[in-house]
Amino acid sequence: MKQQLGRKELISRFIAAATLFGLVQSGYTHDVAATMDPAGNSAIFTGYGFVTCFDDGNGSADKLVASVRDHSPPVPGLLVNLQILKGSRAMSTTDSVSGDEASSPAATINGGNGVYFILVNKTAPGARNFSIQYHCMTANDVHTGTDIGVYQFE
Amino acid sequence: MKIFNRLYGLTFAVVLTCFAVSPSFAHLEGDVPPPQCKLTTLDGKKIEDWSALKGEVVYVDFWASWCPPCIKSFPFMTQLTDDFKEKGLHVIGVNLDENSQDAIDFLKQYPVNFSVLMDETKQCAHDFGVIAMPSTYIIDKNGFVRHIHRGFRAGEAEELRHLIEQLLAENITLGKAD
Repeated sequence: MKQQLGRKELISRFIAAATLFGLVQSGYTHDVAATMDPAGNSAIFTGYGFVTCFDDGNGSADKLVASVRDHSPPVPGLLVNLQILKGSRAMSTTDSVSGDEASSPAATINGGNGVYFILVNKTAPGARNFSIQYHCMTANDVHTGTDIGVYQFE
Repeated sequence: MKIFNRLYGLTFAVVLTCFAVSPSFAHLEGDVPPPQCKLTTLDGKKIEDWSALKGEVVYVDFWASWCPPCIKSFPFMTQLTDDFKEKGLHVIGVNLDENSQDAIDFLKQYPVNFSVLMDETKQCAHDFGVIAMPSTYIIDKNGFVRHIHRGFRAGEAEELRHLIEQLLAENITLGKAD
């Protein structure tokens, strides 16, 4: 199982170190990835979860900011959406260009501390590899306590 | 009235916590062995199941080449292998790419020092209850899943590292290991 060592390993470790440096720079990044509708035959596939915002010492949350990125190749009429809901407020965002390096515009709900519900869905049948980024932020845009959970993914 | 409000709040929090520990993965954590898996090496060879690794601490990470947060965890897994392989840690990246060539191409570009196996049917990921990636399962020396972790953030690395050190320091329990 051992991979080749030597020069390749040195290059790999250099990349690893560089990536690690990038991680330190963005130590608060919250992102997860998954595949919706892996069989590619469901238009109703829905991911339903929640993000809990809390004061982790950086201050009380003012808002949840989230975006979605569709990593799969473009298919006409097939786009990935993300919605955030809390109380009487909701906001939606769509990654309008699938398969590129860019995420959707950020959706923001100013709901303070507490539980925000999130939905991820798509516009047509077809497997979609996607990732979401989510951050609970204080009023001063400092990252604060953020936890995610999943209710449903089907 | 305040007491009722507090009770209501507490009940809500407990219910929420139960949901947060999603049923799809809650059943694995604790003194439960991992599901049996049919995995292959990158060149298609079938490998033995987890039972062959009893006596080692096994760090199983489900990933895909297109998954940005998965790739972010690779330097950490590389470091773990460097630091703890000799002490009995086995890091295994289980790949979930639809096309295994994507993983092979990725690893040619970014070689790793830990084991990479393929879950071509995705049955292993299904049986583990993997929904999101990266998903990490840490198996102790007795062959039980002791910790499940979803996502990866640099801030969590130290916590995971500490847990691994604890598990490596544990003695294998006679009777459970067989």
